[in-house]
Amino acid sequence: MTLWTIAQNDIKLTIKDKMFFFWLLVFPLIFIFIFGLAFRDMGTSDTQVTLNVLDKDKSHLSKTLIEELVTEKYVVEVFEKDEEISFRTLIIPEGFSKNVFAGEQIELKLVQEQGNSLEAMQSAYSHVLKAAIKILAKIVMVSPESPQDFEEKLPRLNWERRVILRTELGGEIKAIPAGYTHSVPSSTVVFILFTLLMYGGIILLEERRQGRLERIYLSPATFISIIGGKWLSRIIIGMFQVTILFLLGKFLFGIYLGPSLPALFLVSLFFCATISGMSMFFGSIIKKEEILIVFNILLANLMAALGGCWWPIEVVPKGMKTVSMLFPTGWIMDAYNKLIFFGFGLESVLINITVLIGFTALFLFLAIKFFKIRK
Amino acid sequence: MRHIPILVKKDFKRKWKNPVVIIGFMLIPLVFTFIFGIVFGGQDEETLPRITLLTVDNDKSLISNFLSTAMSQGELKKMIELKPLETEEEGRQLLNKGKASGLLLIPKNFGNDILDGKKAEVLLLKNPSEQFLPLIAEEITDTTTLILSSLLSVFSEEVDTIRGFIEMNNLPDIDISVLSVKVKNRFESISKYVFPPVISLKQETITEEGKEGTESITVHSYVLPAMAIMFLMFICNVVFSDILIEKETKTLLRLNVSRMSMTEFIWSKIVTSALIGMLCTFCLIGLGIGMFSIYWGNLFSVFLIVFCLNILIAGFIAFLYSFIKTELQAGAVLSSAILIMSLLGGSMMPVDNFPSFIQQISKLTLNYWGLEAFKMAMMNESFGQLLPILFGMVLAGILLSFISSYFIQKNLKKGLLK
Repeated sequence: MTLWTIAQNDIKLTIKDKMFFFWLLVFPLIFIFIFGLAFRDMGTSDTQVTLNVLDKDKSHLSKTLIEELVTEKYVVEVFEKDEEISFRTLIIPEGFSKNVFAGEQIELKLVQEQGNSLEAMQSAYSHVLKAAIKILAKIVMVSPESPQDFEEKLPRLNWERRVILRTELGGEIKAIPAGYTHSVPSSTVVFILFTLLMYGGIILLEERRQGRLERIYLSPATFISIIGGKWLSRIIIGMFQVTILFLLGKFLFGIYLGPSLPALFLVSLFFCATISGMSMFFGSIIKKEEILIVFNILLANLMAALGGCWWPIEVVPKGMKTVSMLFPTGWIMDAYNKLIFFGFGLESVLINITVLIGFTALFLFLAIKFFKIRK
Repeated sequence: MRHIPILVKKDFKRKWKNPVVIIGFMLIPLVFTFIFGIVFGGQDEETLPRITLLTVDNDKSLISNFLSTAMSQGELKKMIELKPLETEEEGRQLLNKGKASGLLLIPKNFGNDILDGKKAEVLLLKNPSEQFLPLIAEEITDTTTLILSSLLSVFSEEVDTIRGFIEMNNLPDIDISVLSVKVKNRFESISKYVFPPVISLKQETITEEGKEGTESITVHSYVLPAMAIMFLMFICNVVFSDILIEKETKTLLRLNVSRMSMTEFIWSKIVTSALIGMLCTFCLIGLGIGMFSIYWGNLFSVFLIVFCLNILIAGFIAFLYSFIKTELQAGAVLSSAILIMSLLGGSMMPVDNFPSFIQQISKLTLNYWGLEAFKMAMMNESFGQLLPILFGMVLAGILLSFISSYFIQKNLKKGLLK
């Protein structure tokens, strides 16, 4: 009962702080919104790509190439003057047709202005490459004696792609971590770190400095109920934040939360328990508030970055993927991936929950061992 | 104004005695630059890891074997790691564990269908928890299947002949010889176009109208200035928060009864924070050169950027303090403003990633202009191009300082005797 009273009191103190609602709701929403917008098109192969073409050759062959480039995904615009090179442009050089039919090498150039999407550039590159392969195949099939011969024979050529690639997403759910689908879970983890590490540690330090902990200790409250109450209050605050952000993610940004909400809840619960223990441990061993703030900013950002909250973990080298699993953030992000993107159930995250329980036990033990009532 | 140097000296001494927070805030950009460097590769290294692609060949024919072999040849071998498996179930299990970016399934009768002139289909299952690598795997597989399709079209006659041979149990030597000659002739006729391919494709990036990029911005040289600008604001805030501390501890009241004016007191804080900011920026630049070999560009330009940027930061933080009366408010407003401005201004991710309407808002942040200036110096842009940005920074910084000097003074005088 005392434990619950202490927890309640801590929650009240946290909620009273004006800044708390910024960290709980305002910042996370701004981050989710901006990061979601920034990565909204990533990972989807059906995003439209604009491709300008500067046709310096103006031959039948160059026109055939341009026709190959026009598909639903690519918005192709043809220019004729040099000064119109802009954005993302394919340059078909003069003499293109003449060189190709003479069997002499010629280079197409795909130029992009610095600052434009690299993903779209890669997509355009591979699209142009495929168009060039098709053109070459057609030339070889026709075996023309001259460019005019090719022009005459091409309409009669029956070229069709005989090997087709079909793609599907693996797992149970057909969603990829792009846009808000990625920014909601990752920002939630980032802000749980910030909220719990900052508030959890600083409030404890303040209470010790002002002698409030000592006063509680002089009451009938036991040492364990003080620690338990503090720990519980932090877990509740963390879970409150998780619930709010995921609900907003679902109803405001329309993201799918996976088929098993209990699993999502459970894995988040043990993550909050770990970080709560961590905040109390660091709040006990670091004596100065300003040092604790700097340390917590560094720690929260480091764990978020290395755990895969800032960027998709797939793009990091293999060694770094192993490193990510040394942190609770690596395990929670892995669990969210399994639950939200693969659409698996509780059984798929049992290992993650076990590891997070291990982390919780470790930090709770450290928090108890180093917990100080007096300054 | 003669008291300003004395007050600046006093503040410097105080910060020198307790530099932990400032050093801590300086350390964060360095740590992040280091991590980003490891994750995304410094200098000109490859930025993406090798893609693991699982393959299950249920056909095991010559053609299906060609498909998987073609994907692990030459340059592709550096990009993609093929892991052949026996069963689809095994592949799906590994994919579900996130052990690969994709699973390529070649169906039974794939080869026969092609030889029969039918369309054949291969299935690529993509890892749903990844964004980029499955797309690259898809492009590579699609290009390889296209090449296979093209080869089949080019050698369609020969493929038909082979199909006929397979149906016959007894192969006449003469037919095999005819086929060999046909294939040889076909190769000779196409060699003009494909060995090497007559059409090649080159990718280029232009920095401005028709000018090809010469200097490239590495991961380190983007992250360090971006993070540094954000944490310089926090450092500046550490200096400014003394205003409220001195007010609460009544040091300000004592100073106010001396010959020092309130204007001098406020300007001393602006000057101190700008000077400490400059010192920290120079340290970060030096450490950036030493630790990450960052090329910052012309020294004179860099010096001017540091000077102007810190005037702007000091002015901006001072301006925010115009609205703040207590330490509690400072904690709430300052960190919110700094974080949001840094997010929008490109300190947390490149502005190019944002939609165009956010990019317009980015231009209202000091992070954006600071980063632009550093980028221009790194790209060896002419001083004339840099000058308007520097001028804008100093002008905005001084203007903000004057405005804030007036308002802070008003606020402080009001609450001095409380």
